[in-house]
Formats: sequence, structure tokens, C-alpha cells
Amino acid sequence: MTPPLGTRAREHTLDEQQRAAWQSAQALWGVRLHDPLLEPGSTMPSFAWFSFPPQVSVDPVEARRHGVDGFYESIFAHEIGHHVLSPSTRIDSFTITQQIARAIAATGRARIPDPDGKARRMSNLWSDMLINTRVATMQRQRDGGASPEPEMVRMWRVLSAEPPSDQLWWVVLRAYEILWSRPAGFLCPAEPPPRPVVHREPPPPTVPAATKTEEQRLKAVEAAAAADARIAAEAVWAELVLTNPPLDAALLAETVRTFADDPVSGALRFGMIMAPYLIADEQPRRRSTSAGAQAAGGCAGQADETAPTAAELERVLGDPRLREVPEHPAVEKARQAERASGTGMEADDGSTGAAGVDGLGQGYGLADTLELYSAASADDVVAAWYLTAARRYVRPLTQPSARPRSLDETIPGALEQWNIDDDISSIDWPASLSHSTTVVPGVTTRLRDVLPDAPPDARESVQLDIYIDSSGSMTAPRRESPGVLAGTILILSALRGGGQARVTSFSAAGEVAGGARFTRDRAELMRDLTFYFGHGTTFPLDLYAARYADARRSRGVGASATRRHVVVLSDDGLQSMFGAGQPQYADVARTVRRVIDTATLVVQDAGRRLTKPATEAGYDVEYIDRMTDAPLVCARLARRLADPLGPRTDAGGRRG
Amino acid sequence: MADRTEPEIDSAEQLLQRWLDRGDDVDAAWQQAVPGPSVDVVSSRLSSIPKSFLDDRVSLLGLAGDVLGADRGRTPASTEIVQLLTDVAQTRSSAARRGAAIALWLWASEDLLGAFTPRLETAHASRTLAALALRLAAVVDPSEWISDAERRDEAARTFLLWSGALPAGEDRETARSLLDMRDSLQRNGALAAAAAEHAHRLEVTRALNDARAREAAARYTHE
Repeated sequence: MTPPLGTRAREHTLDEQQRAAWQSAQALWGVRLHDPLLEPGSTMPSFAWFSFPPQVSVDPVEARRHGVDGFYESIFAHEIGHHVLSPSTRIDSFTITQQIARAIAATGRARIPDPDGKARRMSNLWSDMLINTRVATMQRQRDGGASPEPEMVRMWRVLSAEPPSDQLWWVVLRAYEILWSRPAGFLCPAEPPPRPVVHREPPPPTVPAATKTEEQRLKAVEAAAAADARIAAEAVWAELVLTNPPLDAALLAETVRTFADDPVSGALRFGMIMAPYLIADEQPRRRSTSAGAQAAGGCAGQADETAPTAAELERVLGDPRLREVPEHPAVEKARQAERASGTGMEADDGSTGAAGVDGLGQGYGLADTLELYSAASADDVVAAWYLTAARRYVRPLTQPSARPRSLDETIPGALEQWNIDDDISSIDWPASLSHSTTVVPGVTTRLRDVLPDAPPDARESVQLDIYIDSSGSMTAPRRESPGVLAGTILILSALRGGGQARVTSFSAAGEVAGGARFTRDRAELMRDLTFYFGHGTTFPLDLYAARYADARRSRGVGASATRRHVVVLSDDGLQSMFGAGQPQYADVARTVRRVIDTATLVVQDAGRRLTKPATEAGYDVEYIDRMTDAPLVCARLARRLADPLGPRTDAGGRRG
Repeated sequence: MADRTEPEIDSAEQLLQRWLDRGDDVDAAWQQAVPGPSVDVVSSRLSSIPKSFLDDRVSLLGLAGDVLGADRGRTPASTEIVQLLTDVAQTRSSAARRGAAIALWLWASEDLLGAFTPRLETAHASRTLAALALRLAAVVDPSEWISDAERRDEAARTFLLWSGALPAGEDRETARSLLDMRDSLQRNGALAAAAAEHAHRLEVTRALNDARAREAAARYTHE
């Protein structure tokens, strides 16, 4: 029976050489960690790895097999570097991986086998390069002239004894040569290995679909021709693998130097340099004694990597560095060089390297994000994606206070002399007597001046009642729904203003989900907002009527000061809200409208068919077609709530 | 009245052409190089250049007379240097002027800050000045030689090579390989080619997106 990991590790203690190496590795970084775990005979792909909470593990048998058991200080220093420099935290680890996944998406995700697995491996390789460079520098500074070469560099001489068989690894080794000022041939041959040639058989021409009429036949032929044109364009695109190993190695070395202290920003450039090699790297890599360690960069990376939590996902996706446009450093450098030489490149039309960047600037779609975090809860990923996409547009949502203003809008001012022509009631007797016990009118009498003090307009939080259509005609939350984004912005804005919200998701008759009460629980609200039925559309007028029945009775007698704001997110299927398909409730929308303060329909309806019934029932309508419309619509809605009596001059909205 | 138009400033290509026209043999330079001071020492000197050396108003010929002059600083030691510095002045290129001034500073620093070990020879001063003023300054502005460690290293290695010296502690192959790795001229050419390829790829990507849109439209019409 295999003993548990902890038991096995405790059976092996550091020998004298390993203990000394561990101490000096910690001194190099200036940190103190508990002892590393020695795990001979582990199944990890290399001889050392790390895990969170901070733990360093080494397989001494593997280290000996790779011939690096004389370099324990560098092995330990490397693994400690993962906890100190890169990724240093789980959040940064996920963010670095996401940056590289963005670079892969910008390069051509479909052309790279197992893109998400590759993103994780490249993430570790990027961290490895930053750490190895830093460790070599620290060793050089510490040893000075005592050692001709840092131990890290000597270890890499051993690890790179066998020449690389692929271009990607050649670029990495060449970059190390540049970073460590070693001549060409020190770690890898002077020339890169040839690029693998991939033979692709051209697909047969598309056969037009069978048809009945001549008109249909012509259209089918046209469709088949368009399909062939697309296949031909894809073939041309697939041939464009942009790699230049010597240049890329120099750019990689420069990226490592420039972003030595910012692994997350540098990861995007690293990804843009390396992703084309992942396309080219379609042939199985030769396996040998050192190839395994090379493939892992000498380090097996993070062990037992668990899926990110909801909070971690929100922090990762909310990192502003993930909004940077992916661009190959060669393009950036060439542009700089041209600017410096005065010739100047043509004006950037905004498309430069912007592949995969959406209007919200994330550059990485929700579908891609879901695939990257397939091990995490999909609901958490969806919620985190919308929360971070909405965050930039959130403003505190408040409304004018309904409470009456204070009658006394003055404050006491300075003491002044009371004269005999002043009102006698204005004498401040305590002040007058404290001035003199002998009262001489107009001489010792004092009055307290009164200053006006109109308090600022009082604001109060809002209570937002959101109804979201989750029928099949609506864009599903997992496919980037403008309605869900608008709902998220509204919820976050209401909560930021100290208010509450309630979300009701509806689809066909009887299909209603969501909480019955108003809440400030963001997780609950997001869960309700992203719930998706995917069936027909029937607005739950019965529920709507019941919820506002009490309000109808209490309205007008001053029993409640709570103001009510309803927002409905839907599409043209919302005709059902005005009685279509449920005539028995045809008057509910109009009746409820009388007892609520604002009512807005945010609809995806290219035909703009809802304007008439909504206007007749007294509802405002906002049309939303794309993700990028959502922030503007929410801003108009916020203005309406902030000043409910203000002019309705908004360009995009219709007042009912 | 005679029409007096200002002569134009030499472009990077024109500076490089002047360098190529000289016909200096790089292979021979490597073969003849003998051990010299370390790159670190030269780089350090380079970064401590006085501002006055970089001032465009200071005459290069006068400066060279002070640094390399044989007749109490009135003229440089050789007519070859005079000719080269006259050419540099004719380029009207500030980069070329500052490139030459930096080379002059490195020689001048031996008197001001102490001699290099081993001491640098000025027998190849003309080609050294040309290498820095016409070749390197054409592709990297001399201000970067001071501000950027990588470019400073390149300038120091270029200076040593054309001065006939190998960096201390490096053999001929190592030194040549390390300078080749940093060669901005080669790198800029590769960068321009790479940028053009990426621009082409963007065009192809747009064409692919158009083809996909057309296919989707045709399929929709058919259905």
C-alpha cells in the first residue's frame, strides 16, 4: 500500500549538502520557509515542483538521474522563486495563465491543440524564465569573482546537454544565452532546428445541398461557393505561422529583462512570442533523459492545482492588465523604430493586433473563459465574468430622499449688539447677562445672529425590482448577453448606492425563478440573473400583480415611503407583458404602473415593436442591441432614477 | 540674391551607405583584435560621459584635436580622422555627431579617469569613430547607448572591436557571438520584416473574417 504523501515525505530528511543548499537558497531570496519535501520516486514530470500553500518538493532520484544533484541551491532557489517572484500567489498564477490564453486566442486558438493545457504549461515556463534569470543574477552578485559562472548557469549547461529538437525550446535556450551573456552555442546550437513541415490535404469541393426548385439550387450553389472561399481563406491563414527564432529569442530576452518585476504584464508579450511555436509544434517531441526536464523547463510547475474559487475568479478577471491589447513585441518595436526614425507608421486603425478583443476590452470571450476554467464552477465563472465586465460602468445609484425637509433651515451665527429698534424677543439673555449683570438696553444687550443653512439635497438608496427574460430567444448568459450585462450594472449600482434588488427570471408559463424578497446578497442576485430556462416567453403577470397588490392598497395614504422601480430585461417576446397570450391579465401592467415610481423595459428588439404598447401602459423603453449598448442604457436609467421629475430628453429612451 | 537652401540631414540609410563606402573589413577586425579592457569597464565609462561632449554646438574637430591631437591640440593626429570628422559634420546628423563624440570621450577618459587596462590604442581611431558615428548611430540613437543597458553593451563592444580589442575574459568566437546577438542593425531589419509579416497576417485575418461572414450570409439566405 502506498503511504500518504506526508508520511512518505517525512521519511526522507535533508542530508548535509541539501540542508546547506536549502539554507543558502533561502538566504539568496531573504526568506524563511519550512523544509522542502523530498519525494523520491514521485510521478511528477520533473525533479522539482511547488504548491500552495507555499511548499517546495524535490525528487532526489530524478535530480540525480538528470545529473543536477550537485546544484541543489539552484533547484531550491528556483522553487522558492515561484513563491516569491512568480507567480507568488494563486491569483497571479491564474492571471498569468489567462494572459497567455489571451495570446493564444489572438494567435489562433483553433490551430493549437489543447490550447488551455498549453496556456498552463507556458505560464510555468514564463515564471521559470523570470526566476532563473533573477537567481543567476543574485548568485553572480553574491559570489562576485569567486565563481566564474553562477551555479544556475552551470546547471543549465547540464540540463541542455542534449540539443533541442523543436524551435520553441531553442528560442528559450537562446534567450537564456542572451540574458546570461553567453555566446551562441553555449546552451543550444547556433542555428535553430528546422520548422516542422505539416502536410495538409486540401478538402474536397463543397457539394451544394439537394434542392427542389431552380431558385433554391442557385442559392445552394452560392452557399457552397462561399464555403469553399472560406476554406481557402482558412488555408492561407493556416500557412501564416510567423516565427523567426533568432529575433524571437532576442525579443524574449528583452521581455524577461523588462518585465522582471511584473510577471502578469510580461506574460501577454511572452505569450505572443511563443504562441506561434505552439502551432508549429505539432510533431511529437523526442523523449530522452534530459528532454523531460527540458520540456518542463527543469521544474514541473505547480502541483495539485485546484480550481479557482468565485472570489479568486473575480479578482483574476478584474485585473486591468487583462485589458491590454495582445500585440507581438516585434510589431511594437518596429513601430517605435519607425517613429524614432521620423518616417512613422501609418495611423493605427485600431485593428493592430487586436484579434479577439471585444468592445468591452477584455479580449477574451466568456466562452473561452469557461473553457479555460473548466475545472471551476461554471456559475462562478459566468458571474465573475459579468461582474468584472460591469465594474467599470458602476456608479452609486441613488434617488432624491422622500423624507420631508427639516422646517428649521437655519444655524446660530455670531453674537451682535441688540439695539432698541430690534425685536425685543431676539435678545439673547444668557449672552447679555454674561457680558454684564447690569442691563443697559442697546449697550450691554446681545442678540444671536441667525444664518441660513439649506441642507444639501438628501439622497437615499433605491430598491430595484428586476425581471429578466430567460426564454430561448434571449441570448444565453454563457454567450455574452447584453441584457445580463445591463442587469449586472444595475444591480452593482444599486448595491453601491446602499440599495437592494430583487431578480426574477422568467420564461414560459409557470417558469419563474428568483428570490421573493429584496436583498443585498450579490451572489444570490447574480445567481438569479444568470439563471436560464431557454423556453417560450410569458411574462409572469400573475406574480407581478400579486407583488404590487399591497402597494396598490397602501398607495396614497402615506403608509409607505419606499419607492418602487421596476426594470424588465427582455426582447420582442415581451408583448406578453401587455396581455398577448394571457388576456385575463391584460390590464396588470397598466395597473401596476400606477403604483410604482419608475418602470423601464430594456429590450433587444431590432423591429422596435414594443414602443407602442409600452407607451400606452406608461412604461419607458430602452432598446439594446449589443453588449456595448448596455452601459449607455444603464447610465440613462440611472439619470432617470436620480431625477425622476427631470426632462426626458434622452436620445435612446422612449417615455411612456 | 543667391538662393541659399540648407543642406538636408543625412538619413539613417545615407549614414549606413557612408559606412559601407569605407569598406572596413569586419572579419579582419576580429582577426586582428587583441585582448583589451572588459566590456563592463568601457560601459561604465560610457555612461559617465560629460554633457559637454554631447552638445551639438561643440566642434568635433576641436574636440578631437584636444583628445587625439599631436600638435598641442590644434589638429587631430591624422588627416584620416580629420577627413572622417569633416564627413560626419557634413551629414548634419546629431546622432552621428554624438556617436563620434562618445568615442572621443572614451579615449579622453583615460586621461581624466585613469587608463584602461590594458591601455587602448588609437591607431584605429578613424574606423572606430566611423563605426560609432555612421554604423551604430544610424540605427540606435546614442542617447540609448547611455540609458539602455543592452544598447550600452552593444556600443562598448562595437568600440572595442573597431579599436582592435577583444573584451577581457572573452575569446574571439565568444566576443563575436555576443556582439552579433546585440547587433541593432540586423535586429532592426528583422523587426521590420516581422512587422510587415504581422501586418500581412492582419490582412489575411480580415479576408478570412469576410469569407466567414459571406458564408454565413449565403447559408442564411439558402435556409
